[in-house]
Amino acid sequence: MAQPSIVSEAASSAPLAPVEMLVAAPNLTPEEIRAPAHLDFVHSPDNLLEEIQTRQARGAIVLGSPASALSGSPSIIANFTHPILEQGFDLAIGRYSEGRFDGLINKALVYPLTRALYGLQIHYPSALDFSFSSKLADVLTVNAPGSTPLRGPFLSAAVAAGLRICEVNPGFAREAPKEARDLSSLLADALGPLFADMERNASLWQRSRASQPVPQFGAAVELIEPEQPSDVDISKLVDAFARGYKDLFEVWAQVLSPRTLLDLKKLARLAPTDFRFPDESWTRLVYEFALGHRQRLMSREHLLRSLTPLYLAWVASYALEVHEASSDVVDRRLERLCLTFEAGKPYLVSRWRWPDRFNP
Amino acid sequence: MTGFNKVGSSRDPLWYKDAVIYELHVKAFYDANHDGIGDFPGLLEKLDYLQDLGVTCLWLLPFFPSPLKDDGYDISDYTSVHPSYGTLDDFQAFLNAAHSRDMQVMVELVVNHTSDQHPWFQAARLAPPGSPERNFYVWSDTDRKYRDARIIFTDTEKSNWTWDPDAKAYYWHRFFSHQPDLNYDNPAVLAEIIRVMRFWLDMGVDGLRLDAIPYLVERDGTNCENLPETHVILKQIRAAMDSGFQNRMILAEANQLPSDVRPYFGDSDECHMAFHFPLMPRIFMALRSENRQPIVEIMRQTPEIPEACQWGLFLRNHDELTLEMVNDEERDYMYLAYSADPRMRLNVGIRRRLAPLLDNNPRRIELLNSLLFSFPGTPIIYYGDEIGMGDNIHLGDRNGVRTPMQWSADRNAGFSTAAADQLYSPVIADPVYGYAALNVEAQLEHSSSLLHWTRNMIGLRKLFRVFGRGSMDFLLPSNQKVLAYLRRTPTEQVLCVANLSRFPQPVELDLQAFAGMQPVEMMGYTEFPVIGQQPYPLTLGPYGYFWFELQRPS
Repeated sequence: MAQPSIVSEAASSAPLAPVEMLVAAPNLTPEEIRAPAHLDFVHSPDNLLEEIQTRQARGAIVLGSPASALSGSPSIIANFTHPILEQGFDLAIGRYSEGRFDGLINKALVYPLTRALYGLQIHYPSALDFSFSSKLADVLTVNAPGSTPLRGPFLSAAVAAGLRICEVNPGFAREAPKEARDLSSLLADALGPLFADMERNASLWQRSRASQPVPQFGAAVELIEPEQPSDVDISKLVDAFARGYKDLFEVWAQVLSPRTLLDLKKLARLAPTDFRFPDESWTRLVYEFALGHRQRLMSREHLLRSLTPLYLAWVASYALEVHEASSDVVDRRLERLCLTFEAGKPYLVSRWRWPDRFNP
Repeated sequence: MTGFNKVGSSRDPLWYKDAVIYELHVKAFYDANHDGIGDFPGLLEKLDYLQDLGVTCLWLLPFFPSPLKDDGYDISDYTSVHPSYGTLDDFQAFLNAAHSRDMQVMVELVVNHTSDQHPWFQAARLAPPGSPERNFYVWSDTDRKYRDARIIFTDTEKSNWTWDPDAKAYYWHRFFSHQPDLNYDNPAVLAEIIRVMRFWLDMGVDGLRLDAIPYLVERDGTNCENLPETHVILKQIRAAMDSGFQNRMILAEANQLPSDVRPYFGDSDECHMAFHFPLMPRIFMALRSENRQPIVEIMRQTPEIPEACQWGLFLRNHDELTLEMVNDEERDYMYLAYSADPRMRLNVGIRRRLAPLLDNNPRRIELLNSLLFSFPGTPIIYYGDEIGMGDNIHLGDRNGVRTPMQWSADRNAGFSTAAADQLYSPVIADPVYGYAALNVEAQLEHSSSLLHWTRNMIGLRKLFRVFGRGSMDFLLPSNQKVLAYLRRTPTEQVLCVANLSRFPQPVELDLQAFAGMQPVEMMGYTEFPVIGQQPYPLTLGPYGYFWFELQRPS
């Protein structure tokens, strides 16, 4: 097998030779990508797809996690090249070990929604670290020109093209981005592309039924427990929901069904000690937001940001449920949520196909 | 002069069981004298339309002299006709004309209260405490009696007591403060009410709707509703009717749970009919939630009633769609589902007409009407709903559902030739429900109209006595979106199946008990496969429904 090679763009003035894989790591410098792996480093991930074609590479790796997480980069890179170069997969997505309270937007929204839509148990659909084949690059170039690694519909494109997908434990725990951003922006950034993708791929996701696991590479992931368990105080989360309920109910009423609004009304009456957001209600709510987004019932940005207090309500409920639970219980709890999203999919499909405000 | 056993216009003492009742407001129907207000001569002119529609009994909202602060339910003279609507002679002419068309007529007997302009009240407030005149109403030195009685008109009234400065006392009123309650602990009150009743029965009226009867009697320490003494009074009213008049009917307006309504039938010695209030909102709930459970449950809670008695069924009426007889969660759901705009809400209800509630969807309208016409009871259609009239929520109180009947695209909807600003109410003129397109004339021309459909359904219903007189049993298929029920008499068996969902639904019905029989779809007289031992499969389109006669195969 040819070894991937590193070529410094600054040093080379001669035409670049074909390479095995390229790597884009916006948070690292070429020097930080240490030997023994030799890869071609692409400084700007925005041109990655073009570079793959130009360099006749077999694929590329994108490492978007913070530099501190990527400190063991040679072995990390090897973890990502193996499924593509040696196992013939077209997309290898990072799957991380993390704590029960890490990646909550992914746990609450992105993972269960994507799993229900595309029928694949990809735990981090928006993972910052992944690798992909030139075949997928070609698909994206044709079907989603202008895609960039951090803004492209990689997963849905791979599913649509019937390409092989797997997960990879990159060998490091997931770290939250260092750059502090407000929650509403994070939610909008997480869901906006996902909802937009739903519109583009409606005929694709509406066909899949139950989800399937995908092959795994690397060490088994595990729930990382904190050194010292901390107390959980959800009162601020519940307060934030209560404020949102008061201020945003009329906004929510434009997209949410009477049944969901009634569930929220009941939730608003619960004391923090009894605060439980039923999975079925949450699922329906997320689907109705997706429908509202599609129907442009209001400014999409406004709609997505209005989800914030609802998301905090879910977090409060989840925290109350799992803060003292064993890792098995946490895993089962999240699995139950995913299954609820899958069970609720017919509702999403029917409302998507026949928009009608006279619904339950 | 009271007639001894004066027979009503129908020869059948149980005529109300087969009736199709049409509720209308005289002022809203047709204006014959061009003053902008409907009247009895106008109503008489439209009897042919009503006969053609197929309705068999006309229920007239109050047309008596009144200050009209509650649209006529505040009566100042029980035995006359408000001059805006005509004279007693006009009423008699209308009544005779209705009878000549084999239509019965029901009028209101507002027994619970009068207008504060009624001579009885005017006398009572000036009469000394304890005097016979004073005791026609319910007085107190304080406003603290009967504290457990709820307020019914929550939007406008803060108390059931109001201070009268002339009487120097509080008077009791369960409704508006200008509607003082009559005191049924005073026998003279009942005697007067019976006199009023006899007046109208003598004229030939076939039925009396007793308004607000749960509230006739008050007792401290109770909620002042449905008290035993109320039934003593009703038995006396009924006895007075039966002793002088045959083939008449009393319809109770008792907005209560079914078990609390049951006593109003007595042992066939109180009211002949009673509205089934709790069923109505549950029909809307079931439709919106696409689940039959609310309907099935309330029918399970509905007690058996005497053989000669009958439920009155309705989808909408002149009042708000009342949500008094549902629980808090159901009420919240109904508000969220049917009145997104808070202006649509009034008291504890929703003040909208049938078509707007259903987003003007013809399939939904037909589906709900199919339930109305096939459930056990007598259906009551609200005027204008046969053409899908809209409403105007910007009009105060419940006036938005009491707008002029839309007869044609002519000015004022063909209701009146008066100047538009003289009309008692503006006509509906919006782009969806406006009279220019939505009117009787247009729908008569258009054979696929709601009007034709309603007429056909009424005609179909009248072919089968089972709908008004038969038993009802639910089938409970696993698909909760499907409502299926059997209506039976010894000679007729009908299977009704309704899809409450906006999407097609499959259903398998357990019809083993009818193995060997053949369902014949009623409207097209189409034979369906003979029933076997296996579950009987059916597919229903969005909001689809079937009415099947079960017959021996030909």
